Amino acid sequence: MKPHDPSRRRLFKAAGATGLAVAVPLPAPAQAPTPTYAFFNAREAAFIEAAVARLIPKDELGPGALEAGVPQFIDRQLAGAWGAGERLYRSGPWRQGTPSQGYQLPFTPAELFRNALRGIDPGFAKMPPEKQDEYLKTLEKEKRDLGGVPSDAFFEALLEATVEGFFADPVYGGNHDMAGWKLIGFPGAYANYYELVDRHNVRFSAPPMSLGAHPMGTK
Amino acid sequence: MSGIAAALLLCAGCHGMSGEGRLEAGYPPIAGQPPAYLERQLEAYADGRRESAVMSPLAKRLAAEERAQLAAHFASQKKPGAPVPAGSERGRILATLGDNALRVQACQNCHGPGGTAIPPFTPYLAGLHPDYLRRELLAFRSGARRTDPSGQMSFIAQHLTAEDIAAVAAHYGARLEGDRAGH
Amino acid sequence: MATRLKETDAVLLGVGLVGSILGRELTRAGLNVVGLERGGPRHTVPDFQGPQIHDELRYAVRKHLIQDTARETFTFRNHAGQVALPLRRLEGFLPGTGLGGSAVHWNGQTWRFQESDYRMRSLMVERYGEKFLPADATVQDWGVTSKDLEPAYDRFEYLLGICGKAGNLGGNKVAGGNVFEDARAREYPNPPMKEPYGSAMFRKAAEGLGYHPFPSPSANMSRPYTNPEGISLNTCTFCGFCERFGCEHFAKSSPQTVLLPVLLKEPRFELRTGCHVLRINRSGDRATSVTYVDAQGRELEQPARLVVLGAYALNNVRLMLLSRIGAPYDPATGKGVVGRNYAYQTTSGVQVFYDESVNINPFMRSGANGVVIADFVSDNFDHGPLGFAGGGYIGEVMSHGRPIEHHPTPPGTPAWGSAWKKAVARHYNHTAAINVHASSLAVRQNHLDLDPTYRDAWGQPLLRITFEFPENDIRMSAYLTAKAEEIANAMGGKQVAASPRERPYNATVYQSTHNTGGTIMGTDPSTSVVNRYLQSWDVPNLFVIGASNFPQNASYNPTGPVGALAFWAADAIVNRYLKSPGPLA
Repeated sequence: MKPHDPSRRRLFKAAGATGLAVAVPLPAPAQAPTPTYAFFNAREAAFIEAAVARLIPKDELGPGALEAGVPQFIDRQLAGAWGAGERLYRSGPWRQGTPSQGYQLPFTPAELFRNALRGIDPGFAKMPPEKQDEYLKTLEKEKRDLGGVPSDAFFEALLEATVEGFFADPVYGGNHDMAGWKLIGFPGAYANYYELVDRHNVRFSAPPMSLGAHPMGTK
Repeated sequence: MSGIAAALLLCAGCHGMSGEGRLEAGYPPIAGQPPAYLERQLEAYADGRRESAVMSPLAKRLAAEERAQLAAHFASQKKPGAPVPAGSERGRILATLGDNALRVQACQNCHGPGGTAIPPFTPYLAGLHPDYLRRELLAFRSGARRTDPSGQMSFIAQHLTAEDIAAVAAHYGARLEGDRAGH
Repeated sequence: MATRLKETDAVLLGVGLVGSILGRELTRAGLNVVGLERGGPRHTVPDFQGPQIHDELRYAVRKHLIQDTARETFTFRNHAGQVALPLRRLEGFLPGTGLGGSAVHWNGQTWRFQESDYRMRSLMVERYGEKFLPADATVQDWGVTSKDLEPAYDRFEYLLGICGKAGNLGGNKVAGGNVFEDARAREYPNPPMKEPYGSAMFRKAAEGLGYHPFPSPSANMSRPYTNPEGISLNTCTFCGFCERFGCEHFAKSSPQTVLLPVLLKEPRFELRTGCHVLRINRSGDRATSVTYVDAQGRELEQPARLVVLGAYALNNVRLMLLSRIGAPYDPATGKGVVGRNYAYQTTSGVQVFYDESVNINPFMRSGANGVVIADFVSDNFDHGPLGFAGGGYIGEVMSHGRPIEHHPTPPGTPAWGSAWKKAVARHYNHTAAINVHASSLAVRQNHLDLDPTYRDAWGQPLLRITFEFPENDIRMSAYLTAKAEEIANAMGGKQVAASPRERPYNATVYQSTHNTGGTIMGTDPSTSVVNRYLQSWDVPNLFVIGASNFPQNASYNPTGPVGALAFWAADAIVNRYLKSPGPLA
């Protein structure tokens, strides 16, 4: 997949089938959103923004998690029902389990992030990228105590939320301009492939559409 | 004059050079419809999956390559604006939610937000004339139009009442095409 | 103190697939029926309409159609030496909640089990000798045969409009269908679905190796269909939002699309949603009523002459234990029956990574489309030299390309960073997946009971799951996955990655929602909870129906047999029990 280019017309072509070529002009991408945070304070936001930019970096393939608004996605998730422990069984007693038994910490996602972020190196956002990667790897591989949260558990939650924010529908505040979907060629929420599924090896690259797709284009 | 230019003039006689259509005369806009959709309609007029005393003889005279070229031409034209007849709440609900008792899903699942088409095969509905939409739904219902190989459209048209067909046709006919559509 | 309501003829616990079928059959027989459903009412319009239903985060990741684990979950341990802990979020398996139950968010893969499944112990002993099954295997016969269930399967498949190709019509093998299936009376009601690219490549590779590929039988419609109830379904659009979602097109068989439009108009049927059943009350050997909490939090008692327990398999077991009906199973002594023979599904997979000229288009899929082989199902192959029991089907049955869940990368790819991003972009549209869907042996140690510590929002003990893959199944998975890998190698990819199932069983990794056993059927009250008509041995006016009846789990997906058992039991109730209420066996 080529990097996103607003001037380029995306072509939908069926190899060998004439008449299937569809040129669909893509609207110019909106400005990357200036994040406004409901949950994160300024210091927390600085870490989150810097960390997600290492987890899914901007590169020659296109925008990374930061440019895709993933910090905003995570912020909204933590500020809302998910952060408060929606669908999370929250009765004790609390015991450490085996990996097969899953998450057993007493924290809601919001508590987990808030506590762990207290223990993060405040200089992270200013480190050079290689140092940031090293630091993140330490969090990932070790069980450093971050405000009562084992660092590997925090890292796992952060990575999971980053991937979610990169690929979830843009209505949730991430995947800005459908950058995650364009990267891989996922067409999004409007989907009817009855006529295409048995046109084997068809190359499909019509622009994706969000749940919030506007009748005259995408947003 | 080349064959294709002559054919284009013939199309333009009713649909206009840019495919803007002549709603009052019952000629639908075809500008900006997905090319694969337009090409299939010409094939269907030629082979009987769609019936029209005007279109069928014309389509039969076209070679496959000409059909593709005409489809590509009109597909690349800008979608026209449309007049604003009165839509109904019933039509809006059918278009965006469907009806559980009738077992009909929302039109927008396949025709896209505001009925603005999902290429390559699903046409836009927004801005087409209500009479045209009604006629075509009735043709899907009677089996006269057989351009949807999934059978979805016939199923839907058979489950809608005549009043509902009129309501949903009025809804999409009422939608303004152009930059402010959907608002 | 619970308010006591007016007695009804029959009460259904759960209005999902089983509840809808029983509701229809019992009202048709003239009974007044109350259906208690813990979740809310849900309908194709407006609840499943697009674009909102196509929200991967809400439905597939946050699981909004699944049992709410904030209020009610399960505890889990791998073996009795561990302390079971609550599954604080459900990941490994996903019981539904709400009208229509799990048959709303299922994929639609609809199979028939084989004679070698129903009579597994007898036929294994007959073919391989007494000592072949492992010593800890508690495998047993179902008490019914393929022939007994054929009419029930037939009714179920025509009710749902299953799309497929018969491979054995009345004993005559039909090429292109599943030639290993037992005889069926007639062809499927609908033709197979369209074949996606990956499936076609699998078919070619499997054929080349001498196997017998055929289209996976599907409850996603290949064309419009009107079922025997007069209810119409529309054609599936291959939208790629099937399992974990409701279908916006009336194109996936579910109670909403095949029965409820008729049942909900039936004056003898009363649906009550938001009703959480606490227990079945009994007096001696009779169930007298059920106690439940309604949506407003009031405790109510519904007396009934007949009780049908048709909740999710695990919840069937839990309600039996909470109601103290049947002796709880004790793995230490092997005595007791409720909670015995809990089994699961032994799944594994193989990925085929292609170069960028091969467009797999994983998002153009339906829940149950694909091509499979049954050459290694059940006892369709000689187990003698292999030293394990059971088998599975192998197939290309990808159901979606939703990117949070599906972004395959080759082994060795880092989990994040630029290299990860590049690998995701490179492989997303160029990777096929082969599934191995295999049986699960019942063994003495795997079981279900009530947790001693953790409780639900109503103050009742959670169900405790003790499960580890038996050694037999690990060996089976290695064998089957290697066979799948051979096919994958013939599919023309650049790289193949096989992942046979390994221990320990990890409840945080989705494998299937095919939890079985715990209220198993049989012909001996000392080793089964219900008789061959699914009637409780202890309480004859109680019928328990679901995958909890399976004495062990077989190669194929369980919904077909669950539907067939529902019709089988309904027939026994209507034509035998109602004429002379009492034990049927």
